[in-house]
Amino acid sequence: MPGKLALYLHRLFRANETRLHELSYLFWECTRRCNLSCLHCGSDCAAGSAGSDMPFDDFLHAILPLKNACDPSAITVVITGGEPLLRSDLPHCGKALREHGFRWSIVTNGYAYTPDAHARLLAAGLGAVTLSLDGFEDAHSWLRASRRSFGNALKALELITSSRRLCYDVVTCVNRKNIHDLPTFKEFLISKNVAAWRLFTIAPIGRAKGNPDLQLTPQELAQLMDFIAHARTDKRIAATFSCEAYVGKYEKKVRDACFFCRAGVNIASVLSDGSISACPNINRHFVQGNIYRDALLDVWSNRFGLMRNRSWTRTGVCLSCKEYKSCGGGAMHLWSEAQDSIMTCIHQKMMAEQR
Amino acid sequence: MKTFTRKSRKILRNIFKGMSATSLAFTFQACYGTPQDLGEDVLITGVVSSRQTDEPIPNIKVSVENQPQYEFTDDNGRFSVYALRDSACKVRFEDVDSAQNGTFLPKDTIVEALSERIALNVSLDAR
Repeated sequence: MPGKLALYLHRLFRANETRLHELSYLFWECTRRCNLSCLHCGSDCAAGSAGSDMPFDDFLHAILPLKNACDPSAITVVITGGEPLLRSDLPHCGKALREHGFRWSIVTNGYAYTPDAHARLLAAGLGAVTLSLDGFEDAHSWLRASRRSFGNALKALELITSSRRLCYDVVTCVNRKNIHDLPTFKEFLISKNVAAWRLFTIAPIGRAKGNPDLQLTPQELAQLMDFIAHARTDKRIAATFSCEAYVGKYEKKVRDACFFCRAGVNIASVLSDGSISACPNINRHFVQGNIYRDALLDVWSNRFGLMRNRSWTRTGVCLSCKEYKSCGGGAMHLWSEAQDSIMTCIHQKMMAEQR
Repeated sequence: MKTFTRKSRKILRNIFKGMSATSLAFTFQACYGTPQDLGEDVLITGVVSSRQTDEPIPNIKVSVENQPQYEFTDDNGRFSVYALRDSACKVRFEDVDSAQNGTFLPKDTIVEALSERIALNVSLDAR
């Protein structure tokens, strides 16, 4: 259990950041097309996803007024999808963002991250990448539903780790098929010169809903936390648990900072249909506006009330939770439109197991 | 807390920052997002033209030694490429489209790449 004083100070810090609500992290869901059809996709994207890509000029037009309110270099535009590399104009988009002072990064499955794409993206001022690698070949290919996905992701990994410019991490979605491989997979990543590794669990949303192989049991969750806590003593790689959930006694053991869901506090998104939300995987019921109707800056400044005052989350399993104050109602993407109870709580699952 | 002004909240943030052993809480990462870009690079821009005719040359490959990125000049001979910010970097200009836009000798230029932006106009000699 982190010190009580540390948790109290963290609550004050969180409250202060919430009142300030400075936008520093802007997702752009540039496409819903994808070259894979992963079993766990939270946004349910696939090769045949309907709807065309958002024209870049529409996005740029929406974000340019942000320059009047804040320093654009303090905002990272995180380009996601679908798979952003399916957009042939991605280097053009990135370069234009840099010309206007914004930093940009991509979340990719690595399937189309070729040496040519790497060179063109770096030339366009790409600054950060997150690459998905979900274990060894069998585990990765199973989750990604593609036999070639592992080989392509490994080639992408070699390009990304060889770059002195890029800030990057490798993310692994931990599930019942790969959890037992984590120690050997960690050594594998170290052998590939990976410096930063982030581990997730899989939220029961999108295509992951109703797939029991993707959800860790309470024992496995504790096993994952113990593994990460131990891996963090190994200075060869910076392992961390994603900031996706409050984890009770493991807070500060598995991450550098305590849990703080910043959706709507520092994080916004522009989705492929123009919707303005926080993280793209949040239930679309929580959409706050649309760039084709509303000014993004106005929406950011004056809406997002549900995310900045989360007192409504004290319901369902959170109602009687003794650690609610430290958690603050969990991650926004785990709330459905009914707003009656969080879908899953890692902390409570692990606590139930201990009892 | 309600009486706090925006300015005082920023001061409070700096106090938290000072109390924190790490600045990581302030350079957060969304759970499904990338790390923030804390790196430094330099934008090298310019025009490539023919020394003999002064005309801009399209489709010249512009690359940076020991870095993978490259760019091609556009129809007006213009290019812009981001490179790692470094004490010095060698920028290479190469004619790689055979005789399509004339033929030119390659040229290397060493620039000090410590600022955010460098303007670099280059003339190539016809082969």
